[in-house]
Amino acid sequence: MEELKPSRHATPVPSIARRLVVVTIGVVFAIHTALITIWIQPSNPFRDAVGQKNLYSYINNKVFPFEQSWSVFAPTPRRGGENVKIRAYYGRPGDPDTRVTEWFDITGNEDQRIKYLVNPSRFHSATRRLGGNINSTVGQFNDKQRLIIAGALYTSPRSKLADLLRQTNTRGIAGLQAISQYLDNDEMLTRYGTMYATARWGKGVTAVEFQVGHRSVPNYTQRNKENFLDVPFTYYRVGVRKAMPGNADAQAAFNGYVPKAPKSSKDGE
Amino acid sequence: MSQPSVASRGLDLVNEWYDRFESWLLTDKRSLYGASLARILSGCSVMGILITNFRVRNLMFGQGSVWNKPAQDGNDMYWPPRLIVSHMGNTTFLFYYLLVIFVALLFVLGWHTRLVGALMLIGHISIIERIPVLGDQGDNILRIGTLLILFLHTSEYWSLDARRRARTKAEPMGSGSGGIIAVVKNLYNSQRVLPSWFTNGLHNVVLIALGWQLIMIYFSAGWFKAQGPLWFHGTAIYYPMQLQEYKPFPFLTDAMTHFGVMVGLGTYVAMVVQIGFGFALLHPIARRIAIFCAIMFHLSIAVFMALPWFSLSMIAFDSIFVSTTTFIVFDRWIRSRLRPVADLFWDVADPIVDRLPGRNRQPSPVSSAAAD
Repeated sequence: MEELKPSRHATPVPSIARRLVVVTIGVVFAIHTALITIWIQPSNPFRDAVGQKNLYSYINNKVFPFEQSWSVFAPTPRRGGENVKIRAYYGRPGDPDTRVTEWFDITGNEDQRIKYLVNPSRFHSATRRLGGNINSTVGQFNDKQRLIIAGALYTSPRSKLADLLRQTNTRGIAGLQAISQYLDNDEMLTRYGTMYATARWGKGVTAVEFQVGHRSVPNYTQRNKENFLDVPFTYYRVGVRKAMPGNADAQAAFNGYVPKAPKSSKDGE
Repeated sequence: MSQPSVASRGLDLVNEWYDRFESWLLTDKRSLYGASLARILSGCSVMGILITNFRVRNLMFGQGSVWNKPAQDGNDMYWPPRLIVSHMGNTTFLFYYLLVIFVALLFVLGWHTRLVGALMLIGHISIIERIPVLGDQGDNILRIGTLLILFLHTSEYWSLDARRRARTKAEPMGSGSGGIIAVVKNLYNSQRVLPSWFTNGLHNVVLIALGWQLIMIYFSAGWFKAQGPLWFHGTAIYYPMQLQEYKPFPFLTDAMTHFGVMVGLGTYVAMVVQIGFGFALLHPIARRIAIFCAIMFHLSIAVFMALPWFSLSMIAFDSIFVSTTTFIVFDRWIRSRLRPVADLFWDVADPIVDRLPGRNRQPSPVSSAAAD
């Protein structure tokens, strides 16, 4: 094999002063690299030595964060699927004159969009992600909190939901974190659902309601007998939420994406 | 004559290794082919992500992304770039989006690489970070890796900068206004502006930082897996592959998971390659095997799990581990295959470029020699 020639950048070993400059650069990158290494490994004594708070503030700095986590599918791989269904209200929920649409399976529609695509848009996983986030937080809630989220939130402000969930919290700080995550995802689902429903069933949506479902992949030993897609979802209700519409541009974006309800079907009633 | 002591031989060995490392670090830029390929493929990843999401751009990143407002509000990082897009209407955002795709294309082509690379990174962050709720680790490695390669010399090969550099000569940079003009000219012509001893050191230090970042990604990913009973028992990959978002071709996945041996093989190979990647780099043959396995691993993820842009980003940055010798062989092979296409392209492009106003083209050494 022929010997490699030096590139056009080749120089002799520089003087000590110049070497010191390079060493300084090296030290800066070495410290950075060491902090990254400590951050991405499982919990370890080095992390304690640096201090969790110090490490977090370096990795998640506000200018250029180095946030990363490589525990993807590990130690336990994902083994559950999510599903979100929506229906919309036109009028005050509970009033006899109020029109209520049929349930529509948003995630099912997303599934159709990603099939046979090797480069699907992540947007087609939006409700799957929100449903998964809600599932993981609701799984930490007690029975009272589950009843609260299944209730209607139409006339009261959203802060009422937060207050009720906090009052019934029995798990201390971990419980409060779960509540905070739930509230964010509840709001995101409500915003998404309002614009989605408007695009599907037309203007005038006053409230939306969701069912969030979960199902598990059959055990490995059953893989050739049971099909994951045949496993029924277990749903729970996220109660009626007051509509949270977006501006005209935001709604226009949803209008171009969402399949319109056929006028003759029960779906649009 | 007495034999040197063990301690003396040990010190000689340490001294020799230090000299070799010092020479490696300071006397030349390393892995220039790998850095050039990393530029091309990471730019393709940016383009790929943006083109893939083009039809849903307003829903993901534009005004329609207001649905994930709580996540946007909670994401107070990237404060300068993420504000660029937040007030754009759909039409303005369309032009901005196309502009960032175009900038990424320029980065792939190696046109004023450093400037364009920085602009691409800012543009990419300003768009991608509008949707934190749908973010993934592919975004993270692309962002971090792209930042690091901005410090590398990525335009040495397969770039328009290299072509321009070959056609022009470096201006002598004196003091005063003439010196400043010479610096600007040299920057424009991709000629050397900073001293080589400095850029060599910076390039090689960052190369090490990027390499270590990748090794740690593989190691920690494998390390986390090793703690899981499903990975331990060789059935782990079966579960996520059943989920619809990771099952673009159901018949392919079902054919694979039907055979338990394939599931076990996939699970163990993924875990072993990840944990052993860094160690394998220490030996030339093991390194080639590890890089081959890593590329196959990512290609499998791309096809079987519909994660092409994450996979391409990882392959992009992994290319810094490929030896220069391998690249030279590859370069010669691909040049011989693509020569007719390249000749045709330049035959069409050169006369157009030469007519551009202000174009002061100097004959390249190759064409001068041919004319003589």
